[in-house]
Amino acid sequence: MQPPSSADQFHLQQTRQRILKQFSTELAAFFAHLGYEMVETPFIQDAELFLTKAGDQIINRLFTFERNGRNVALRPEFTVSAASLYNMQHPMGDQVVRWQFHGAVFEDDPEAPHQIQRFTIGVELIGQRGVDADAEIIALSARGLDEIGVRNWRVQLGHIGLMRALLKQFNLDSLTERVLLTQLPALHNPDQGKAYVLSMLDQGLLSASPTDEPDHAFTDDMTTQNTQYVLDVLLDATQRGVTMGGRSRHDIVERLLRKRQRATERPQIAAALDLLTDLSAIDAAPPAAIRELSSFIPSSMPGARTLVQEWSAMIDLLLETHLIPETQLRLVPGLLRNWDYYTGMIFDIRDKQGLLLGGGGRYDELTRLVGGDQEVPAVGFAYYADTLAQHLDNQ
Amino acid sequence: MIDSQRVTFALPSKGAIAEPTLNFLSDCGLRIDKPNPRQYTGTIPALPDVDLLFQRVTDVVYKVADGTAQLGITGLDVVREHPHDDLVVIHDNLRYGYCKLLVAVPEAWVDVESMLDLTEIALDFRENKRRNLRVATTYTHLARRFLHARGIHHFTLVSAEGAIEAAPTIGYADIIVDLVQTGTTLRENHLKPITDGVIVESQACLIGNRRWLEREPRVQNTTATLLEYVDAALQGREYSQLTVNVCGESAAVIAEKVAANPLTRGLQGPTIAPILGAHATDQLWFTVTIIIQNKQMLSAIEHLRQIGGTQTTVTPVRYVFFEQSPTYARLRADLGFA
Repeated sequence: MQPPSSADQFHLQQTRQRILKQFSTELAAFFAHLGYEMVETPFIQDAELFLTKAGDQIINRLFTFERNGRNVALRPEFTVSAASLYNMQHPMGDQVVRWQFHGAVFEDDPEAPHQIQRFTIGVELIGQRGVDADAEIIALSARGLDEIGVRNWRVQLGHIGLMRALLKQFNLDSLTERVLLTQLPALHNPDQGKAYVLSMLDQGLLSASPTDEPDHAFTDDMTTQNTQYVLDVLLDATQRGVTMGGRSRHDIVERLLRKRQRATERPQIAAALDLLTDLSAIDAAPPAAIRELSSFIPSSMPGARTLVQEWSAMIDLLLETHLIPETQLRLVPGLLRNWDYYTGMIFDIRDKQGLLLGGGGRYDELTRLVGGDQEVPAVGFAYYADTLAQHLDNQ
Repeated sequence: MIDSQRVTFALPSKGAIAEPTLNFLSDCGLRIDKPNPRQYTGTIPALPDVDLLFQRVTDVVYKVADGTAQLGITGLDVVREHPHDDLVVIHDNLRYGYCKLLVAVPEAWVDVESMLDLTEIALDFRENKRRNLRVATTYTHLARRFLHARGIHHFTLVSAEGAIEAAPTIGYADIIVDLVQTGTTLRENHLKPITDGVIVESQACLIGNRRWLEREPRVQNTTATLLEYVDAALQGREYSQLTVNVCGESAAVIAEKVAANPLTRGLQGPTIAPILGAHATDQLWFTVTIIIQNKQMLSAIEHLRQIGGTQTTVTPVRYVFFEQSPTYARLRADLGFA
């Protein structure tokens, strides 16, 4: 059998397409009524634009191709385009904009080569700092669902900024920090857990060097040992010819030392994993979750404390104004989203069956990452319109 | 040139698997007739409906994908690099033309053993050198996909058609993604493979055009016949025919002793024939014939010795035909036929 083509898939879902068309019109009107201006972004953009953060889970599914020597991509989502558009329109970073997007986004998933196109509806609030903006976006995402008749949604709220802040106490380098955060789902998985993650790190991140005996790295006399080691490596590298591939001997030695240093940091990494395991076990209603979470925050970390207080204030705001009923809100500090550009609170919206309907979060660094002169506070969300249509179809 | 009543089978004309392909088909009993070495056509006398078309490995993929040829033999690496909906890999284990598509870095990069190291180096390049890691390759599709999947996003592919291994020395790339057979070329160019950087474990494979295979009985029949030869010959390599002379009371008693050990039971059981009139003693001699797996040959012979066997001879088996060609049965299932 010929696998169904992209076009076939499209036609197969006629009913859902009709549902989708109807609710996207309703949502566009609803968001416009609340001051969100409809904005268009190009389908095809420089691939570089979407490659700003190395930790993005989704980048290996970016639909890229080469055109006249330029690497271009079909847009995988709207947020990055929004940040880039903001830089162009407001290079001073001093304006507040409320934008909404809708349209096709693309991904190239080797596992599903014929599901290239999806429909997304997104909202971005750029230029406004503070918990009000966070609350506005979360409330908007929930109210939008009410508007189109989705019942039984639940918001899961996490905070990637807080997780990063808490990891700071272990003094890890940025690669280690990033790798540890991507292990959150594994830590949460009963079949994997901390021992599994640690053994994986031992094979990769924490392995020192093949020419190196492991005990070597742990001796007290690090300076002498390292000097000797560096000399050995230099001599060794010299014997290996002159093919350097754009790195100097200095680069190589420096990184070798960093790697050895990291291998000595296993205890800190194990401690960081313990903390992440504890945090990712939290999944509770707001007051209980905040209490539990606070118990993991050392008094020596006022920055993290402030983040929790702000987060808590934002949640209170949502609950007190009845924008989100308490029964429909869970705090899940171990939540992770597909994009690495998030810097603060993040959230998912699912239906009762666990179908992911949408999600978003705060991304304060993105304007600078895509080439702007400064970081501009920003927060937004998107609905996965196809799953939304599926949900409404089921309902 | 293409007769609608015939089947076009594309074979590699150049490169590492060209000659081995001719030998392989010949070993399968499909000798190739190529009247003029400078021409691109030929025939297989055992498959009278088939026209051969000799093309470069990549062109074999293109020709089968677009239906100009209905069948082809090429490298799995090339097929993976040029995925196409109409392309079916019919047999991915022809057991020759082995090579690996892998990531290799300068030997001087003593800090690099795994792809994770490269992930960090790509970040270092970006942050400290303000440029991307440059990767020389002819396999741009597979390289791009593999690097992204390993968390390496900041790279530039430098495409080149040949002498990829020299790129880091010449200086137009930092690392390479290339085919490696023995690793000698890598070492000579002061490069080393990354352990977990193997993208494709490749060998020769048989491919077909999905649309032709689905609709055209002539193509199906030719494929079935071709696979009968290929499967039987590949199976044949695994087995040998063993004959041994055993002395005993009767064929039945010997049969029981031989079959007592699963190693010497053969595919069904031993064939036993009496040796007539050769003996001065009153004892009867029999010749036992069994088919055994090569890897079990010595243990089998040991068992036969223990039951009194002597004068064992072993002959290679050219073909083993089972009830049907397992590969053709699998292909029919893949194509959605009952």
